Amino acid sequence: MIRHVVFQPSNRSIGVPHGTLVSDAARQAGVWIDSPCGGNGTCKKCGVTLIAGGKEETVLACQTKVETDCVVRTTSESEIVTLSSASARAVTFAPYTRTAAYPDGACFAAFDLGTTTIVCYLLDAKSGRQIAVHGMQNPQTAFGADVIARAAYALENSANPLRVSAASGLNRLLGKVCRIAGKTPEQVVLISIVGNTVMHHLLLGYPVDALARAPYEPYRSEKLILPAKELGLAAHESCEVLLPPVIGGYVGADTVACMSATAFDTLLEPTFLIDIGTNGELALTDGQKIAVCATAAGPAFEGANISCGMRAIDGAIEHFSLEDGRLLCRVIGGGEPAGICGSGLIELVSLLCQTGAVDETGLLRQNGCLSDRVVQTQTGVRAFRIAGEGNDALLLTQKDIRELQLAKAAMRAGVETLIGVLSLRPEQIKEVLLAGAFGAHLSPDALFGVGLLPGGLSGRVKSIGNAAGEGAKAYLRNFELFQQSEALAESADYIELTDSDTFSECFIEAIAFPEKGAN
Amino acid sequence: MSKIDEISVAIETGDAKTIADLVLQAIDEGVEPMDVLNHGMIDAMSVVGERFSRGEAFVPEMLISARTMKKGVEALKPYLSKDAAGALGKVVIGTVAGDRHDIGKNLVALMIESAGFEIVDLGINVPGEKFVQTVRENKDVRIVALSTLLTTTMPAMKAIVASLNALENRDSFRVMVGGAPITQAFADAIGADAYSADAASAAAVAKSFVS
Repeated sequence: MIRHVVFQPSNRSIGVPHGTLVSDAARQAGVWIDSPCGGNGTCKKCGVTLIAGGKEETVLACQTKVETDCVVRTTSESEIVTLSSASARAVTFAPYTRTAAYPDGACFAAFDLGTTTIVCYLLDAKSGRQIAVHGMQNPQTAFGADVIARAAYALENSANPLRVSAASGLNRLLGKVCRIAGKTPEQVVLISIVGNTVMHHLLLGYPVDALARAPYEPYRSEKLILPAKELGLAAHESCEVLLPPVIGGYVGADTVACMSATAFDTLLEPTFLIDIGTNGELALTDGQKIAVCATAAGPAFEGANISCGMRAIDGAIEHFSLEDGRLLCRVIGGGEPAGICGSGLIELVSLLCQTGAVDETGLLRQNGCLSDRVVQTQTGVRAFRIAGEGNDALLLTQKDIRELQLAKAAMRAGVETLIGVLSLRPEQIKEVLLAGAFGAHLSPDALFGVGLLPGGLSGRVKSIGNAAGEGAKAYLRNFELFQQSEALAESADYIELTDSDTFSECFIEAIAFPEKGAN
Repeated sequence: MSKIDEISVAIETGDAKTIADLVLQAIDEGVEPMDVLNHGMIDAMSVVGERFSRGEAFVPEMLISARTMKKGVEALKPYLSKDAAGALGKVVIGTVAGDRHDIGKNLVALMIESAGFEIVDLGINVPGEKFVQTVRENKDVRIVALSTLLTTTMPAMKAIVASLNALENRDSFRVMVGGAPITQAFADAIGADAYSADAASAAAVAKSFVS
């Protein structure tokens, strides 16, 4: 029996068989519902209001079946706009041209296809100048928050819905960015797409078996030039897509693009390139060799398994500071805080360590100038009151701090492992380039405060914004750079951390917070 | 505070820096090595495990305490007689084929070992044949414990349990499973004898099998 579901606020409606999950109905209707745990019912982030038979109740979309005709109210789709320009290398404008010349008004589109966010940059095809940029949530998020959840979906069900979802996301975003610039997708004559290996494989329809299970290796890794049509992208009829190579299972084309954007292979001094995220990518050069690795920090930095956590959208606290013993915070979009995002989490815990409210082992204590905010909840859980009072208080629980400890220890162990592989000492490393939108919002001091980075790197962290996006643009502007990307990828030595003898020991070592005054 | 108490505190708080010295001091003072192991370390690790089960301690503390215990056992080893440990029987443990994560598996192994079992650790990415072969070659195996962190390798766990269940001597050992994506329902569905949610309860389950 068919039931009709109307989704608000978009008013999209769909008919589905009785007993269909609300989350599946939403997916079919093209309505995005956040689903970090991939529908296991464990993360509790897919709450919606179900209105049926005059009653309203809050339910989890992934655990609730459509029994009658109903209205489902979701929180409005927040579009993430990532506007950061990396300190990129200057490239000569010499783009790929298959035919003699591009038509008047033609443009290029560079995509950074992230697990969480997709960003599209539109460039003028004559000058290479950027004319518009826009970002949105990756619609694949409905299949799970992280790459493993998505690969698991592909293995258990089918990879096709994920491929279709990625392509439709790219098309939707391209349409939007073209509208902003007063263009149409038919005027887009060349596209570049960079993403991690799982995003890359799912978009291309490659099997993900070997990625999702050991040996965690890509199906194919070489660079590609494909007709846009073949990927299901709506653009100029002869539009082609540049896809740079991937390096390994968890170090993808986005990292290659970061390296191209920063001319990483031409650096003469030891330099670190770090992208903090659910899957943290790390590249280190000693001026000759390049070593790369990926570290599974888990979704804590995206706020997914943090009780008060949320993504970096309106309402999230992104920055904390301490003034005369008072805790101050900055909320994205102004307004009342609804939760904290990754940068807020790291900064808050760093401050708590600094004031003594969190000790070296990570335990919350009634200690220091913020001690009056360390509380015991009714259920006996120790927590730090961030804002609000009583039942409405926004709390950072002891467990949240433990989650951050695991995530930062994974990043730190990756950092230590690469430094060891190239036989360097932190003091020898000239610069730490922090890529990604995350780095742009974060005070570097907090990275040392929680011990995500070794103290020996202090004072040399530079946030470079969305370097992957800059790399994607650089490939459009200079075809030679794209051609060289394969050699760059091949020159990088991929370190599989699960094979490393020292990783586990480094990881456990890095769980504690730095001793005060030391690091 | 006695040396045994000091050792307990060091394990509980995860003080890996002083543990080896404390163990040697206790031996110097004439404390029985088995008392150092049982009352100084294993009891303290159980306390951490219980705090974990009650939600008062989390994985990081477990790992830090486990690491401390490991260092303590290393310091104590020369003073222990060979058959002192492992009296409860043999446990074969490994992370299933396709998965190379071992931090959780190592923690479970350590907790089961500290409960008094002998551990045969097959490591990571272990195919079903390896488990079967080990059980065939060690007739005294009491328990086989399987771990996986990835949702993508749950089918491999299912296949391994099926091949263990087909063994002629299946009545002589028990199969337990665990790992982040595993649930009691999954354990039941694939025909495992037990599921445990964490390292502390894994040790309790193992003990319940042999008592």
